[in-house]
Amino acid sequence: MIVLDRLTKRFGTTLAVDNLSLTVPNGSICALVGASGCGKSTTLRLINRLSEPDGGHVLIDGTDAASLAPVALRRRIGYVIQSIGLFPHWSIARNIGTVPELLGWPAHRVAQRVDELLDLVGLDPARYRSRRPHELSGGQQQRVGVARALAADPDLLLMDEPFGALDPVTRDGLQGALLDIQARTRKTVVIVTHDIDEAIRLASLIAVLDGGRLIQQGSPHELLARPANAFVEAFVGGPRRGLRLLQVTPVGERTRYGMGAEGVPIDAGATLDVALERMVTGNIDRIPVLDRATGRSGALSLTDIVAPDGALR
Amino acid sequence: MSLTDGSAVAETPETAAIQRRTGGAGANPLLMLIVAGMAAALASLGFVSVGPNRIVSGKPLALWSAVEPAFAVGLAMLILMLGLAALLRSGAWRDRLVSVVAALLLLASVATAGHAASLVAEASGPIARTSLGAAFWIIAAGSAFAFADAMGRMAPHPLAQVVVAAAMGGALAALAVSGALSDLSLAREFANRREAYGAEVLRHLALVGGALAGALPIGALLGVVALRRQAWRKPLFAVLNLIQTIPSIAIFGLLIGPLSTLSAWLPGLRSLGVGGIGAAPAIIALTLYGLLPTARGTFAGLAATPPAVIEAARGMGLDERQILWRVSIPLALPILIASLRLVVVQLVGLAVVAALIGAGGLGAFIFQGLGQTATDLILLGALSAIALALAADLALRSLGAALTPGASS
Amino acid sequence: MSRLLRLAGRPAVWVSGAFLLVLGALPYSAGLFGALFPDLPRPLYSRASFLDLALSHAALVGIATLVVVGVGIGVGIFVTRPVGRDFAGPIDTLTAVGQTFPPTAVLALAVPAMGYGGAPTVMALIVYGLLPVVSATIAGLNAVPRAPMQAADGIGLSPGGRLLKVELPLAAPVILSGVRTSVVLNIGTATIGSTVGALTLGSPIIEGLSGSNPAYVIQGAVLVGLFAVAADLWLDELERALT
Repeated sequence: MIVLDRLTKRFGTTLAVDNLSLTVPNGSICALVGASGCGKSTTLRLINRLSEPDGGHVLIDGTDAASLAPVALRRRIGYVIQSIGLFPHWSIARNIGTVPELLGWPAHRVAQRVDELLDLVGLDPARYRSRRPHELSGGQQQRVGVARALAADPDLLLMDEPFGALDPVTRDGLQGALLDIQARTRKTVVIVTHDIDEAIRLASLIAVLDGGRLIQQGSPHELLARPANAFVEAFVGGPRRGLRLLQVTPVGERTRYGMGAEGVPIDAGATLDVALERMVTGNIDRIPVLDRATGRSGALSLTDIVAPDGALR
Repeated sequence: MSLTDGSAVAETPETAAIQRRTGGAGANPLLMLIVAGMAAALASLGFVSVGPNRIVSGKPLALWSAVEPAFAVGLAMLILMLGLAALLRSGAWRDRLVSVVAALLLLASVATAGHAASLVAEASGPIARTSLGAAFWIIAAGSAFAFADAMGRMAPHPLAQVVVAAAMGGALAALAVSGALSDLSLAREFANRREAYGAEVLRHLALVGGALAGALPIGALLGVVALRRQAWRKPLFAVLNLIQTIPSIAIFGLLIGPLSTLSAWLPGLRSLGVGGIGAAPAIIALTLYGLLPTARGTFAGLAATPPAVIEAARGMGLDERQILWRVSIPLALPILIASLRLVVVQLVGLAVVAALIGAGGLGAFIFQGLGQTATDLILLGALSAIALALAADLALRSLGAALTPGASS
Repeated sequence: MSRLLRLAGRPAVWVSGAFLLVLGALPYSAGLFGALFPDLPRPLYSRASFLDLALSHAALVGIATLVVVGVGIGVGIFVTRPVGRDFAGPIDTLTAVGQTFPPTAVLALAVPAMGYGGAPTVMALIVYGLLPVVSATIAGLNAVPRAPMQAADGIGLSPGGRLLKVELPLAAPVILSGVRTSVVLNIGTATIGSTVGALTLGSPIIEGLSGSNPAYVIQGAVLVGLFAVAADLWLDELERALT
């Protein structure tokens, strides 16, 4: 569990981070979002002590980060940045193996770990391990960046706009890969992004920052359904908020169980935007729903999507 | 229309380099110019000059009068071949042909000059001096340049360049050792000073080595300081630049006073050989000169590490020393070696001046020769200093190439 | 007015002032050097006046620089035009190799060719001084970004007009830094020129060294040092004015 406790950071006279407190449960993905200059990157850098706070504490599983040697702390924390920063003079394998090597792992174990990680991030080890960074595309390089951050099997992964410089298709692929990796390894991830769609897709906890202050935190659904103020409302969606809300609401929540409908059933775990898409393209206003976990079945109609009880929830 | 025009002319350095390597499609106008110059020189200027003794300047002697017709024709044929090669379409074959013919021409002109000197020695006795004439210099310089240019077009690996340069040097040395050149005035000057020559070369190297021993660590340290302390950067480089601006002989001269005072006060220094005149002020001055390029190279090299790479390294838990040795220095290596090359070449050149304050080195021959109006002694010193500088340049170029296998990245 | 004031605060002005001050005061400093070096029978260099030495030194470097700037920039322009492209590679090789030659060796080689005096010195200064100017001109012209060149073509400038109005102005700072390198190098090489019989500020130094007269050495060294630094600083001012 990562606890940020009243963190404050000043640069000159400006408050980059202002009395910020946040708790990130283990095994979850937390997104720090906000406009540029809102202090989200600074907050991230306070966690692995690339920057030292002027006030407050960072507790990692109950231990104050300030009590650990910065270098040792960072070797326990994975770190991925937008500009990737692969070492251009080393092979991919050596890049990924840097931290294990620093930690004194035997060579064969490092090599084995490198191959394992290349597999995990979706790169063929035999093909890529001895290449140089400049021989890879931007997306492939960032896959290596993620593999490198995971090399010593850290419990915590910090990502600073990791996919910000990639084209939309590549970014989509990497977001999927990250979700997949997180599902398999249950890492705790703190990701900084200015892209609300990315935050909605990846995070279970979103923290909205403005001017160094935490404005609101909550699940994507909470933020979209009940933005704390106009700033959050504008940030999380403005005119697209309703559509984004569909993306984070499970079909099961609106299903009328026991009712029937024609056609191939949709899974109750799918989100409402998928159901709406099926209705629009199928030219129907009602689809069957199957909850695979309980075996219950039911139906969802267009009016249930729009307003089951007359308001956004 | 204008776009294509613009891109056709506005070439980047890379495309220029490619252009240069592949050359145009047609003949080589520069080489034709060189060959024409060689032919004109051969026809109108002396190939050697023959004087009655060492000091009196000689009279020019054309190639035809200096050696048997067979030699003269042979040399002329090589020049003709080079001219014909210049007419060929550009390409690797032409470059190979030019480099071989030019190398042969260089060696043949040296051998012919040596032969001419032997003929003069037979005819006029051992006191007569045969110096190299204007036509010789033009042919030698032209063929050396044609050779270097052809090599440059083929763009061989720097290590291969070292091998080729060593082979050329070896061939010239073999000519010299065989005695074929020993009647040339230049060779006689060398023979008269065989022992002194070796000693002065060693002194020259010792001056440069001594200065490097000081300049490299101090300069590197200053470079790191400039990197870490932004406020010091400007004044630091201003001072180092000031030192470089002051003419070397002025610094050499100005150091004599303080050092002789110092050694007068501290007799221990004098027994160590530190005095106003000699190696000590020379090494100190050369060290001062070496600081700027070393510091600038270190700063530029280390500053060239991409910030993202350093940020990533730091974020992964590399400490500052590990970042320096594992990341910054390996990445800076090409720049560091290039600036080492600059420093060494500059110091080899400046050490020539050190002879004026009694520090010895190859400059001693130059200034002795200037004092005695002994042209060939001047040549001995100057050509040796040039050869030393070129050898250092080539050696460090190849070291750079050897240490940066992934230079393309 | 305020511009003049700002200029007066420049190091270039102080150093030039110091140079002129020393140049003017040296002829009257026999007493000073006599007191500093009581053992020397002649504590003040008198073979030629310091003013003559300075003028001769400046003339040698000035003549060489004029030729160097004209020829060097011309060669640089020529090899970056389509017509001279064949010469770009060889010129590149020549300047790279030439710059490794020790300047003193180049000076010494001018003597067998031209005898003693000012002529071989100017010759050596020209040959050696050309190299940095040629390579800087080529580098500067090659580094002109593509966009303004295309814009120049787009508004219908002729190749010559583009060279004069776009390429040379944009390359000027780089070219000027090459000129600066050349001038500073040549002031130093001209100092050694007194060993081949040229009259320069190096003459007192060389004579002082060979005749064990440290006073001469100091007089020459201080003057030539100030001269070189002043020239460097003025060229630096010019470089800044152009950027």
